[in-house]
Amino acid sequence: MRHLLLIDRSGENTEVLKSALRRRGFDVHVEDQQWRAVQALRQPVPEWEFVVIVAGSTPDNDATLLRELVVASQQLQQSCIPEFLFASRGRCTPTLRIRIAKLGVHYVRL
Amino acid sequence: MYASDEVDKIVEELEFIETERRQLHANGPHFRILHRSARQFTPCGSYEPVAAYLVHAGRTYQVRLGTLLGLFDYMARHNKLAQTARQIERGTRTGSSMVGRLAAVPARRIPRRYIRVYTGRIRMALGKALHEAGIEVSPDAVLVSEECAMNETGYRFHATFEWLHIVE
Repeated sequence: MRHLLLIDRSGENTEVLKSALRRRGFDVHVEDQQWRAVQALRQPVPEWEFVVIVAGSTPDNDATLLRELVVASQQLQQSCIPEFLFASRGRCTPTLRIRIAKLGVHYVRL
Repeated sequence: MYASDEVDKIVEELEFIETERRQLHANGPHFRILHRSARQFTPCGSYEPVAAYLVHAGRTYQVRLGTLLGLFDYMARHNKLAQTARQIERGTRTGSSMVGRLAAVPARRIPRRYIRVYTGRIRMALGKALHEAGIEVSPDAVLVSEECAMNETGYRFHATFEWLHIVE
């Protein structure tokens, strides 16, 4: 099972996404609290392979969280550093896209 | 509630990331070496490498090798076999098999004793490019050292390469 941390900032019901990801072999753990997500990434177990952040209505604020999460994941010397995916419903400005890319994070517009 | 196409987009992207990661693990990173005509340097009209790029996630990152580009290019062209310092020295002895700045002077070769130092420097340049691209792969895993029977070390790339030729 591949461990996936899902951070939903959109306030939507994550059940549909969670079950779709589970069907594809991901062990999904959902966090909606910022500090909890950071804490989860600082734990040595489980080794997260993927971190998916679904942005809320203001993707700019979530990009700040994204940076915090990337830093948290790199602080702990894991054998496998997770891949980050930033999903946004709203349009991200080119400047924000560049900020996301510089963090080595993948981006998808929903 | 997530719409089904939104879920599909996330899943599709995750599958893409996973495939990219699997390929990186299996084949190593991908490099592009840029050649241009070296007529002004060599009478045989061979090509010289002018730049090497790491290609990842649709972006290119220059591997700053300086004068080591010739050795990098030579090793890239022979990456199926691990070559010892002796073999590299022999291979680079003749200008015809060696292109690049190191071949600008006819019959210039890379002395065997320098190979270890040069591979270390290539690894440093690779490390910087890999870090810039956000690839969590050690440069030692890209330029691999393999022990040989006669107490020698063979060097081989665990990477894929493509060459682009510019005709000026």
